Amino acid sequence: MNIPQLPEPPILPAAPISSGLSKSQLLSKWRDEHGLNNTSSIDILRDTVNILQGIDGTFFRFQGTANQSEFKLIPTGQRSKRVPKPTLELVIRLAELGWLYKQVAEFVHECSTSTSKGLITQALSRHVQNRLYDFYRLIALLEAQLAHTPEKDDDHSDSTDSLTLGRISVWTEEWRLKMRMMSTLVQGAEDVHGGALVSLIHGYTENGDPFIRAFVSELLEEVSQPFFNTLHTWITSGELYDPFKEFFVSNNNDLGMDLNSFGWMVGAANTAEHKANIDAGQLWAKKYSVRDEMRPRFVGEAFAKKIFSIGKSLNFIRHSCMDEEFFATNQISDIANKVLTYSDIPSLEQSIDIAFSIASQRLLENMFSKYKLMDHLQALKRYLMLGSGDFVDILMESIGPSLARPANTLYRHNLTATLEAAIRGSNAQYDDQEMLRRLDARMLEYTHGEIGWDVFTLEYRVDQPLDVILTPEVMSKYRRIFNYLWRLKRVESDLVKGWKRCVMGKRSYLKVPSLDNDWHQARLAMSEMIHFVKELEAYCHLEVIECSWERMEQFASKREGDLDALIAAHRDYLERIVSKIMLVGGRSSRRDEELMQKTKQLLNVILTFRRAVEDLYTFTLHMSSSLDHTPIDNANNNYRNKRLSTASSISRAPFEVAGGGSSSSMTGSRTSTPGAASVVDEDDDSIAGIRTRVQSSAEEFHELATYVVNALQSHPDLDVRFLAVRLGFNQFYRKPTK
Amino acid sequence: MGRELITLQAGQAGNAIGHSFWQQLCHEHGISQDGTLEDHAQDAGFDRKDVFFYQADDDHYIPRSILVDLEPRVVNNILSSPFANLYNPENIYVSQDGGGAANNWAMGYHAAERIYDEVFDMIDREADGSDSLEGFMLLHSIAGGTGSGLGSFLLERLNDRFPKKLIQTYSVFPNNQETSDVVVQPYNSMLALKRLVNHADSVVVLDNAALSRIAADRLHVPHPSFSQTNQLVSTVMSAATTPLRYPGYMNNDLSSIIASLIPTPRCHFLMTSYTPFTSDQIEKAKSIRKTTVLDVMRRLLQPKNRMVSAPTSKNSCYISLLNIIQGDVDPTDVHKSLLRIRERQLANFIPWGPASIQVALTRKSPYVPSSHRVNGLMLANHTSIASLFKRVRDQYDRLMKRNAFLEPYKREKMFSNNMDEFHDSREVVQDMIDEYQASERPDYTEYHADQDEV
Repeated sequence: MNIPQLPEPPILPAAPISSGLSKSQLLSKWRDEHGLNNTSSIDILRDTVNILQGIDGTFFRFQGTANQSEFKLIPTGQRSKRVPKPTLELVIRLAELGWLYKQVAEFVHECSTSTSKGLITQALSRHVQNRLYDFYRLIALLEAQLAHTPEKDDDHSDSTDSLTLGRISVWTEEWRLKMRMMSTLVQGAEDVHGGALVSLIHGYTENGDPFIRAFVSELLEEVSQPFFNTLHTWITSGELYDPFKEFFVSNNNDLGMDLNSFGWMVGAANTAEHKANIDAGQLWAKKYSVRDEMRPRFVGEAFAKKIFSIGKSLNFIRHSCMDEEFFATNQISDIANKVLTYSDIPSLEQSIDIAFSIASQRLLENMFSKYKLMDHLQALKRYLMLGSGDFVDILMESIGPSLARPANTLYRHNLTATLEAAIRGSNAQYDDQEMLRRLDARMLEYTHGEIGWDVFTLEYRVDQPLDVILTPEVMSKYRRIFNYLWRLKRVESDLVKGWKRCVMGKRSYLKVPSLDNDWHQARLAMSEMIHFVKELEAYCHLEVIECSWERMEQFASKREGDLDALIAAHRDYLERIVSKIMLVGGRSSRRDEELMQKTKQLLNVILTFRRAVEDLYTFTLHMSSSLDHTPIDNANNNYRNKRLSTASSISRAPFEVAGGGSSSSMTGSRTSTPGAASVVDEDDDSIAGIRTRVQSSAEEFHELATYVVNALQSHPDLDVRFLAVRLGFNQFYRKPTK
Repeated sequence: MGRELITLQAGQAGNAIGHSFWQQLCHEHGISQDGTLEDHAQDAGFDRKDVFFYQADDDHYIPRSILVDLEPRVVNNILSSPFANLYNPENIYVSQDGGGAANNWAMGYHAAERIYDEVFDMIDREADGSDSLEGFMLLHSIAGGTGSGLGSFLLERLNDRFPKKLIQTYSVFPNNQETSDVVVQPYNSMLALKRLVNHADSVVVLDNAALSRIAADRLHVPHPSFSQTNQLVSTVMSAATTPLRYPGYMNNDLSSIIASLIPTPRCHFLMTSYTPFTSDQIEKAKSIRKTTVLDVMRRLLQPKNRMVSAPTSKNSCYISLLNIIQGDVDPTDVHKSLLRIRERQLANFIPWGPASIQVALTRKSPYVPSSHRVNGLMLANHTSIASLFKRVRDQYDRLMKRNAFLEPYKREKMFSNNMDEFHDSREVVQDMIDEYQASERPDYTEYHADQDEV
């Protein structure tokens, strides 16, 4: 603070020393004569008491407005007499209190007239005002004493009642500290509000001065009350009552408004569209958020998270799970009866912990029991992850032929009818209708030239509140898993069909000795493919899906944590599956992509191979039928002539119409194909082509398989690497050592 | 629902095994002796009964089974057993004269020709009653007359009539390590083997010698009765069919199981191991095992647990291998066990293609109490099985060299002119033995390469 400017002290003339008077008396006398004598102390005291109340005095006044950070005390024009320097300094020191008071009082006044101040600020104002009443009492006391103070300085009646600057100073000492504190807080309240203000105040509770500490703690006790009120409603009802946005949880109005104004949870039809816009997942994730700056510092971050979760959980229980009964239970009222205050943080923590476990348990119970989450996940695993093999087989068998057609010739109702049939035909029919009705078959968006296989997908519809976990994003992952596994399954079932051609066919119709080697090669290639695909499938289902499912079930049985923990557990479950079956997690995403791309290419090669084998099969049938026409005696008893007899035994085998899937059984009769000889001639050319196609696709497959197995062997993910163990169990794909 | 299997039980052994098998299935599915569902088994959706049973109009479950025999003893036993009413009486054919086939393959074969129409009426009826028939299971023995001869005939005709349906057999091989009262066993076996090679897609070999050995060694029954070994067989059969009856994510139909086991058509003879046998299945068996998955899988690989007595040589190896593990299994255990087995190289595999231990996890019947947490069945295509056929061949050769006991055969039409059928059968079996041996070598890929190009 600045020392007020005083006029230059006059140069004292060398007065003649009059005898009989002390030097000070002489000085005083001299001063009187020159109008420079000291202002009487009573005047100063009066001024001081005024100044203490922020009022300009006769001799001194404040310069500048209250909101300045510094104040100046300047002499008024009234002043004619001199003020001794020590007195002046004392006055200036006391003036600080007045200055502070002015600021504080202005704040209180401002708060009492404004309606836009937050609750915490208002509480602060109220508390400060109460303190000011005390202060006024002090002032009143001072004034009373001032009345008893003699007018004259000389009157040395050492009355104990009389006031001196020194006494004022002593009596206001404590108040100066308080006022400073209040002023600081009041100034702080200009910039921050709500929880941040509480934090600010809380910061001073760690002050080294026990007096300050006690004062601030007391103050905080009151000021934090609105915060605790909001907290209380939040953790007991899940409603956020926070008109001035002071709480550290904030409401996302867009979503919240919808919730309140539409009441869509009732399930009215006209709100269906609305439902689609806001799923529970978004609601849970976005309706409320944490405003960290509003978090009082005595609430730790983890602790705040819990509080946040409690309210969110309660809100979700009420609005999304429609579980109103919960709020009438004793558990909730026990918490509600607890009084939350700043002074009892340990019991607050205890209450929060209890409330947290009650709310999250109830919510999880709602999800698991009322909304049968695990049943839905099980259904997803059964149908979208092809866990129900019998259902998948039937679906594949019945829908497969139509999926080979262009996508634009497929009709949704045919797909759904097939799905229905697959459900009815398999053990899926015994599944809960609640789950089954959610299952749907449809086509993805297709572009020109795509066939059914490219676009067919199964879907599982979920609604409130399960979509908090099964969000659209999550469902698209499930779809991805389905598409990949479905593709694998398609290749597997095609291979099994091929195996029937190759291996079972030998029993009845593949009896053309000259083609034995072709078939042998095709069979070996096919067995390699079957091995690859089945091991890959077994890996996906056992190592990946089943093992991940175990973890999910473990979570479900423990039920630790809140809905967020559940969401995270499910996300981990799904992520684990996606990444492991898609073989990602390699050293670089480029390598991941390459690996997956090669794997998919490999599956396509298998399909190419299968078509070639099918042609070989058709060709063989032609050959068989033409052999039938060669003039060999029906040598049923000629067991030695094996080749011929096997050829002739075709006659008893049914003849399959070339290229067609349907066979007509013509037992015991020879079939006559006109122009069989010419067919043979043409086929001489085509067998070379077929042979090349069978061989080249078999070789391409082997190369790809070798690549994949070797790439898997160095994969960083242990489970993925284990796939290499499965595929190369007998070291078949080991790179030849050079 | 599709994928039905029709069971054909031929001859005494076939019917005895079959009967034991059906009892086991009823037990596992909670079906009572008269075909009704037990009260405790009303919950649907756990199992699939319709693969092996169909439901009559009054909802009774009836086995898709046809019982054929040329002599009435075993079938009469069945019909006087508590399970008499389980079967469809229209599906039972017992020869009127009841004379049997006198342990003569040819008699059985020709008798079958005479009853062809009647038996195939039954088969056709059953086939028509299925939504989507997957195939047939023939249960028989190859040593005697009916199972062997009649069974052979059925195989040939099934092959013609249902070329696209799978034909699997459970064939009991005679205990050729002991002297038998049926001296012509090697003849019958040889003739039947030819049909098993040519007309079946997959043959599960049940070697009586091994069954007796297992009953003696593992179960401490020194002289097992037929009903005891039949129980072993029915346990194996029921375990082998669990993936079909308790659907899981894979291997839900017979062809997909067999497709991964049998790469080439001739090498389709599968051996089995099962562990552990429990006291409630076989009397006096002791529950001494700690049944972890690793333990089960390791035991399944041990030759002494195989139900085929076929000594393994240095070169013999697995062409393919499927472990069906039943029970409450932690999926991670499977993973660990596979790694361990590979580490220790407990199994040899073919050199010419990829092969591994496939594992199918299946559920266990909730209605059959079991003292073991886990049990397992191995279905394996192992080249050592050729040694079993070699033994049959050698015994056949010894008899044939002396032209011993051929008279009864010469009385039948097939052999009235010559013995060509015998020679041809031997050639077929020899080819099969050769191919098994070839499949132990890396150059198996070239096995047919010497054949003429088109």
